[in-house]
Amino acid sequence: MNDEQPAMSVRDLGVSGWIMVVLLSIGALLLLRARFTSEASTLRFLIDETMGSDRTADIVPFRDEDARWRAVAGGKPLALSFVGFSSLDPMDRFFVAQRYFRCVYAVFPAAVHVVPAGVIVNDARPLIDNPLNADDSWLRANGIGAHVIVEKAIDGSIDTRVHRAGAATP
Amino acid sequence: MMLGVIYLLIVAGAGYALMRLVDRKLRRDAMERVGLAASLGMTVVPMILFWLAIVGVDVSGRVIWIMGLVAGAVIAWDFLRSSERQKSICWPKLRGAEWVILVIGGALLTWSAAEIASDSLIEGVSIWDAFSIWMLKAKVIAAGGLQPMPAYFHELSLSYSHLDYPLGVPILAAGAFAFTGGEADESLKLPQVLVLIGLVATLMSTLMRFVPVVLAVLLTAIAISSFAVVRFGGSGTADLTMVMMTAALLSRLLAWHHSGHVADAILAGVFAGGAIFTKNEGLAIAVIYVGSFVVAALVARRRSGARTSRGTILIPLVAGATSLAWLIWIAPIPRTHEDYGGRLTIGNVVSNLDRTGEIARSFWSSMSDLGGWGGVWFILPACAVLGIRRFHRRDPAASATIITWSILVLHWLTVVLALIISPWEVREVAGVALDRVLSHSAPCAVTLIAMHLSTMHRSPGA
Repeated sequence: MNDEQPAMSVRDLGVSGWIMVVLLSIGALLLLRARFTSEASTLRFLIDETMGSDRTADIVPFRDEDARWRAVAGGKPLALSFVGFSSLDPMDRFFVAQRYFRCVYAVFPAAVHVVPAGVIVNDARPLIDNPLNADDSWLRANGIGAHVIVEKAIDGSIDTRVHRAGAATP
Repeated sequence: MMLGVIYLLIVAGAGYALMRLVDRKLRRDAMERVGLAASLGMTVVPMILFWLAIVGVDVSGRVIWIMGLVAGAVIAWDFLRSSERQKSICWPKLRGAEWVILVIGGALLTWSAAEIASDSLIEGVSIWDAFSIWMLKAKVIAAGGLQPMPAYFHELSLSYSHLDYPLGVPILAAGAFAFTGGEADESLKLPQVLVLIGLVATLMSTLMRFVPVVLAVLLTAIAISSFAVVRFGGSGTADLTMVMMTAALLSRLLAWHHSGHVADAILAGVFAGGAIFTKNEGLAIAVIYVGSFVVAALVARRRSGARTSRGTILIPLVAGATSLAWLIWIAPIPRTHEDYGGRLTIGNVVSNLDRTGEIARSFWSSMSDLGGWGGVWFILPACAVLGIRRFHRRDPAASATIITWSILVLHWLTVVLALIISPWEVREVAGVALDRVLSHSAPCAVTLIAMHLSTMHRSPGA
């Protein structure tokens, strides 16, 4: 290992060295091309073109969803139930897990109760297969602000209802 | 915004102060100093915040201001006492093709760095792992500290996931949140910008020991421009920090291997501890990197009959000391998720050996993605063949090259082993994790390319 600056310069490279440098440069160009076509770059380009470059910073994923979760929770713990989803369906699993983990992140430090005590959630399966039995007395006993029920109908449409203890489900 | 900049300056200042305390006698060029200050800051500040948090001093703006004052005092004391001049970077006069290489490397480096930085500062926390694991932990720490241990870590009925993941990245994010007092999504990812600076400067300074600066720019650009690094670099996961840790650890180990300076051994130990505090696989990475260099040093000393270098003891000692509190604190936390350590049994390995075909296909699929890696995994073996002289015994740097190759191979074998025993379906986990895991070894790969390139010069008479 050379402790100081390397003695050689690029001009001192032999044929094999130059071949490697050319290949590295081509590799760098391929990566540069990938930058131009990346998902984020394309999205920014589309937003710039359609909404103006000043709106790019406003398009933050989950911003509206986070605000809705926080508004429903109102700083109190939430109960969350998923009805009509199948733990065998990968799309259902993706939808359910993303909603649950985003909800936990959005309303923290308020807790999100989604499965009975003792059930461990690492992915969507326990969320779907172990629904919470959250009746009004349980909601009141645990100081739950709202019970959010996310229900998938047979036709695939998804309906979200909010139930508060002692109140009719809107 | 201004508070965010001050926070990053305090973190880097703490790193610079520690660097000067550890090695006041060593002369380093500007690139190496920037890299060390940023990466050391990103390593020691979370450790200190964690040590304070577990004895009941919560992460707060006041604690960070005090840390900044202490670092400032050390830097001022060092400035007043120090009279030696630091090395300057030798910037050669460029001609023809060198300009072309510099423009390509510079454009790629600028674009990738800008994309990672803009993701960190603008995009919010939107990648799944970032909000369900890393930045949620940051919120947990910011909300109630670590003493007493928050319900998050032991109340299983609340059903969080990945409880045992290290807190290095989250605690630094919690520091940014507490210091700036801003919105969570806007401040949690702020430290990623300093990680990026630390990674680029550390890698550049390491590579410039082997190849001219234009090639160092090109190789650094390739290392930080893989699909995984750009996609996850500014996302709020711990992957960019892990890449920086491996780059910093390798850099200090190579410096210690070459010079035997105690300061480099201490810093290598700190970065090994930092790797353990960054991701669970950091423990394996620290053992592989430190173990390879220490074993090689012990074997070489035994052959030559010389006394054992102090570094062979210091590096593991410092790594152990800096990570001990974390390893003790994490011990009672339930492993509700992957628990690779617990799954590592001979029976488990043997029963899952049929996964090796799928794992090999996943490796090939990831490495052969030219838009994802720029062909670096093909260029590396080609360089090894064409730069075979680097392995010759007469080359004084041969042992460093062989050790670095051993590290790369051992790192990959560990990844294969993890995939064999993983509780996940192997195709699923390889699909989401393999690119990221490979990106942790990117600093090692480009350093090896630089090592081999350094032997491919024209013979004097040619």
